[in-house]
Amino acid sequence: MNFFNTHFSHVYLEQGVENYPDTPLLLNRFPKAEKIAIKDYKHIFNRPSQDFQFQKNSIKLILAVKKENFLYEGSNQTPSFGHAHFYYNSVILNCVYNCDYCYLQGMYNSANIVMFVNSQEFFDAVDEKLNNHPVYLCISYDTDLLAFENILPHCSRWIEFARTRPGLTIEIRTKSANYKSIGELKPHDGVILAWSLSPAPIAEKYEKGAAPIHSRINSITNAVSAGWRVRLCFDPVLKVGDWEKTYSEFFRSTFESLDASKVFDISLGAFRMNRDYLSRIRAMREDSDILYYPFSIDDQSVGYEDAAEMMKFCKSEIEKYVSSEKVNL
Amino acid sequence: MIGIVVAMSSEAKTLVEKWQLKKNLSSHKFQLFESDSYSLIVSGVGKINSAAATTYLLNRRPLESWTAVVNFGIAGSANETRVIGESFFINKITDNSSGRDFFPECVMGHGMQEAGVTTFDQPVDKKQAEPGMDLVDMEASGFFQASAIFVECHRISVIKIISDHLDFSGIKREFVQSLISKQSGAFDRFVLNLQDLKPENILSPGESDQLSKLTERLRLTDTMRHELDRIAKAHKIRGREISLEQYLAIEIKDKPHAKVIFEKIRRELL
Repeated sequence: MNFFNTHFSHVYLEQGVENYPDTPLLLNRFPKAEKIAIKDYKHIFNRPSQDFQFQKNSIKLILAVKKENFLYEGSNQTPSFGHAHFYYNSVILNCVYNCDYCYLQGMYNSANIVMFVNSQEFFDAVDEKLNNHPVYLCISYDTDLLAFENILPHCSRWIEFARTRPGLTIEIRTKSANYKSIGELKPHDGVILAWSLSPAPIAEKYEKGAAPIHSRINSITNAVSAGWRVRLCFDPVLKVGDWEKTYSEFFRSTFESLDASKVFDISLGAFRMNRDYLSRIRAMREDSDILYYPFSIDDQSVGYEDAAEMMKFCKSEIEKYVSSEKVNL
Repeated sequence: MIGIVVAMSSEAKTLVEKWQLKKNLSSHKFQLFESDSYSLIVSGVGKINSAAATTYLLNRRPLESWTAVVNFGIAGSANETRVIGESFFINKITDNSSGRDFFPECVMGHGMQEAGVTTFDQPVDKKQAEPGMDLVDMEASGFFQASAIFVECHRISVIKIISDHLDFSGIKREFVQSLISKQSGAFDRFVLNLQDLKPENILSPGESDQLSKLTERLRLTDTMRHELDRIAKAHKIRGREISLEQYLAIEIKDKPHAKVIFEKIRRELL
């Protein structure tokens, strides 16, 4: 007997999901999974006394119908890149990766993945906003949508949607190397493919399950060559060991591999997190040094006391390779 | 501690013998059998009894972070394809009277088939079973609700062995014992896995001892003790050694002096 079940060994099906075409698509992906009927996804996803990190050993899939909030206004913890109307949505809750610094482990009670099968209502909500003004939309926000593309092609659908909506710009952020799953699609300027990148030793240690950095760089190279707008997200910058040396070497090697002039822009940020989330995470796990840094605390969030100096340093390092107007803090 | 809750003494016998559990004679309300690692309680039939016994069991010893509880016993099956004598890991519990559902975590492998169970307030026969109903018992929902107050969901499990297809009139004590006995090996393996969930303590026994001594010498309040524990753990998690022996050698004059020393330690560990 294996100590842990495999990922997606169980699929929980909320009442009503049978009425949507994505449900059979998803069930066909996991034919051997135990199927368990539930009345409301929140009964299992939101219940207290779950252990997020323990559940990461065998993630379950929960199929549900989202009833409200198909679009959220962007958080102040995330840059809006100058867009006046910044939104995000959550067609999937939770991520298949398990980064030590991820806020999701403090935000959700469960590590299980919720997939909402009523996709059309998410598109309708965006159309409603587009009637009034342009929209900048992050679709891979509380998840990594491209990592799930082989299970359900949300990215492809949203790219095709954006192609027919002139006022819409979408960002698809990922730590996957799954560019090939959308590689056949024609690039479109209303879509920004954004890769989060960290120095390889940091990614190996703290970004569990995510694609190795060299694989992400390969995906980026292919996307850039095909003509996609590509954003590099050096976020979060972590203060680990000799971080200045680690990051300056990392920026150098990244821009040796990539043609910086073809990168659409850069997003840069030091680690920060909602203070309540960090407090919950610390209560749950004692295995990650980066979570136990003596951070400074303000009303809402925790972060490095010298975050501004850190960003100044990183920005100046990046600007050795990329023009300054492309770097967003 | 691994807690086992069974409804009837016939369900307990095999496990008591297998794990060499000793009867705790101080327990008057429920039959309780114990060893260093296990506590097995006989709740009596019914969900209220099961909830009461579970609560009683979980409050007899200090709860540890690895405490786990299992409801183990026989169940009827409304599904005639289920084979009598087979054991099932329960992945869904429905309380028939309230209609509420409860979901044991399915993270650990267990080598058994899985099924849902519906908990009734009284014995049910074939005529009372509803279409689509699978296993039927009288304890699981009470056990789960009581357990969930005290321990995390992934440390609560229900294992049932099919005893009948809701034609239970002929079930004898010896038959129950033989069913349990045949499945006790699988159950034993499952419980051994639960023991492996014991988390490692980040602080070594020596470091914990240093902190205890400091707490005593500095006469720390509960809040200060928690603060010391928290920052010491954080210090260790950041890969640093905890070495506070020099503070143990200081003679503490009075409360303000203790506070000054505490602040020094705090600054050293941050």
